[in-house]
Amino acid sequence: MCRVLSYLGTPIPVEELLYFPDNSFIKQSYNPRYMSHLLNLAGFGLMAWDAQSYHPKLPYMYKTDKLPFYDENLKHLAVKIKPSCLLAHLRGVAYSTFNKRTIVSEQNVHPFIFEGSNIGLAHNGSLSRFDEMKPVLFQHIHNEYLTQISGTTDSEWIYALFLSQLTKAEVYTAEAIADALIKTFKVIAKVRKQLSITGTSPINLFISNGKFLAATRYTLDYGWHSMDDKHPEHHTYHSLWYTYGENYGLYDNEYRMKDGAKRSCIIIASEPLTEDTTTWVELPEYTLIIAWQENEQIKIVSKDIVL
Amino acid sequence: MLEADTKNYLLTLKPFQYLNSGELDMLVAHSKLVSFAVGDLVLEQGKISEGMYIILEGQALVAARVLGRGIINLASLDKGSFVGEISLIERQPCTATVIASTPLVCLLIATNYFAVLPGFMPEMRYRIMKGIVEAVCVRIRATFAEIRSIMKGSAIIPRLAFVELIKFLSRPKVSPSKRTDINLMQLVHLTPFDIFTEEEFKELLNFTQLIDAPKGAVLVKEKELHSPYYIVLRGAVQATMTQDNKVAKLVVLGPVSLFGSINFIDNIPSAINYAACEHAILLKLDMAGIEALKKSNMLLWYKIFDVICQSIVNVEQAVYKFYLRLNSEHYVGGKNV
Repeated sequence: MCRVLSYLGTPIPVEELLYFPDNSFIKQSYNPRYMSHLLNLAGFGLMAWDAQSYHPKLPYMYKTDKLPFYDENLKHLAVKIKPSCLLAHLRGVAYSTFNKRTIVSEQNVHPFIFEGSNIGLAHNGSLSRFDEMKPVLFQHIHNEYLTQISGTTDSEWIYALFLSQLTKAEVYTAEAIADALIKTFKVIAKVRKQLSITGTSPINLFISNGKFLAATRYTLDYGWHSMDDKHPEHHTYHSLWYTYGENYGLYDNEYRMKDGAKRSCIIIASEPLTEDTTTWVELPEYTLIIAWQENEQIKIVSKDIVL
Repeated sequence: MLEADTKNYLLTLKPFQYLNSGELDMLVAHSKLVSFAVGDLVLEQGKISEGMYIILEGQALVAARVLGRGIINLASLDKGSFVGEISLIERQPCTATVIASTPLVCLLIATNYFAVLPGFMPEMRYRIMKGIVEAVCVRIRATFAEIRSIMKGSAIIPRLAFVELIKFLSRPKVSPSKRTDINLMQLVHLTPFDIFTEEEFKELLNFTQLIDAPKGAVLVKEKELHSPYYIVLRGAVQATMTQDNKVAKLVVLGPVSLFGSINFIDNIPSAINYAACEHAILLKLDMAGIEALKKSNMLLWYKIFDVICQSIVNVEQAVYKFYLRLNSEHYVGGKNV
């Protein structure tokens, strides 16, 4: 059910996050540590913000529906780009069956970004009975975003809904982002109630515009899946972890965060990039976390999500 | 393998305090003496230990890389200290590194051996677990105190007293559930209840009650002694700590989680409240049921105790994670149930 990775801080070669750690992001596509049933083979996407690049407010973007571990273009790109902020996504969806089709295409690859915005969003989770929700959800989405939805995912709709709750600004405060996220969840909860939808629906969102990272660990109707579900472990996929430090790189023969006096960078991700998880913090369900840079230090704010 | 006075000494240590001499002999016969040179790693942070090490000779240093603080020296250990004991209960990565600072001799009780004890010496396993989990409870309480101290000066928004009183008076209550759509026997196929046979689990169910907890219903109060244990079947339960009207969420427990107060082990009031944060259906195992179970089937009781010990180790982990969060984040809490 997807893996997401976000980074903010000292510029870092993308390859050091995607390929080098012992639980690297690319490795999570075929061997995720915290998912035992599903692989993440339905697409890879990346947004990377580099202040030294042309149009620095807009990210580099790369999306593919190919398998990322065979993607030579991605490898070459990862060596060259050294962003201060990154948002990457591996799409994991249920495999197609006789009576249920899964569409794998570039349009369905996260993160999403619309014209007129520099905010990207990636999602780990799924909305129960999403197709029934669409006719009601669209009423809450501004036309300028509705017309830009080009794929078939619930994630893109959640993105459009989120942008519709957010008042456009040059600089977004943590409060504004948190407020828009809570409003987004409230709309989704309201529509579900209207349609009597009660199935467990995880909405782990990762959002960035290059200046901040925001992430949620949130599930509507948490715990309301059947124990007869053949893969109950599927419902523990939606974890959220973070680590921070002075620098991320090769230390003591291991790619990890280096401790230091300065808190210069942070990684927020679905699962740790290192096999040693003891220097990562796992956030509990119903949590919203926002991180940004202030005087070259990473600030972190978190709150419980209660609608 | 060991001299009599060493064995007598071992019987004074927490993990073995409830063993008799014969049981200790059996344990030692299946353990290993391991020697370490200066600088050798006994345990490595992030890796899973192969068992519990008890220091018989020499000294060791405990150090950990702690998020936001770098590498810190935590303690110096000598004869009688034990490390890696959690690996006997739950396979979790070590949270610290233990290095021999002098030539070291340890007795190693391997997790593989401990795992097969229920088959032939369940009572011995129970007694060792009891000793270990009591030590875990001491550590949990120490972390409670540190968390409370941090919460006092934290940015967590306190709740208004009169709002809390109104909420308390109008809290929804739990009630017996008449649901028939939940197949309780499915639990036997799921961790941690897969240690029970179907017959054992059916017998256990005789001592439980199916209950319905509306969102907001309190299930375990922090200072309450002899509170029940619960298994979440549907929905979710939230564990919180309170200090000066500030409420902090530690962890959320979903289906197939077992939870209850740690005072089950040490009879001291806990600092954790549990309340339904979604409408929840639970199995309740109250103290009367547990006592009746003990009298009727001791082997089944040992297995339940096993599962309770695992849940207490998980509490330690959750409490420590929250302690790390308080030191890392500007946590403001939220409107809580």
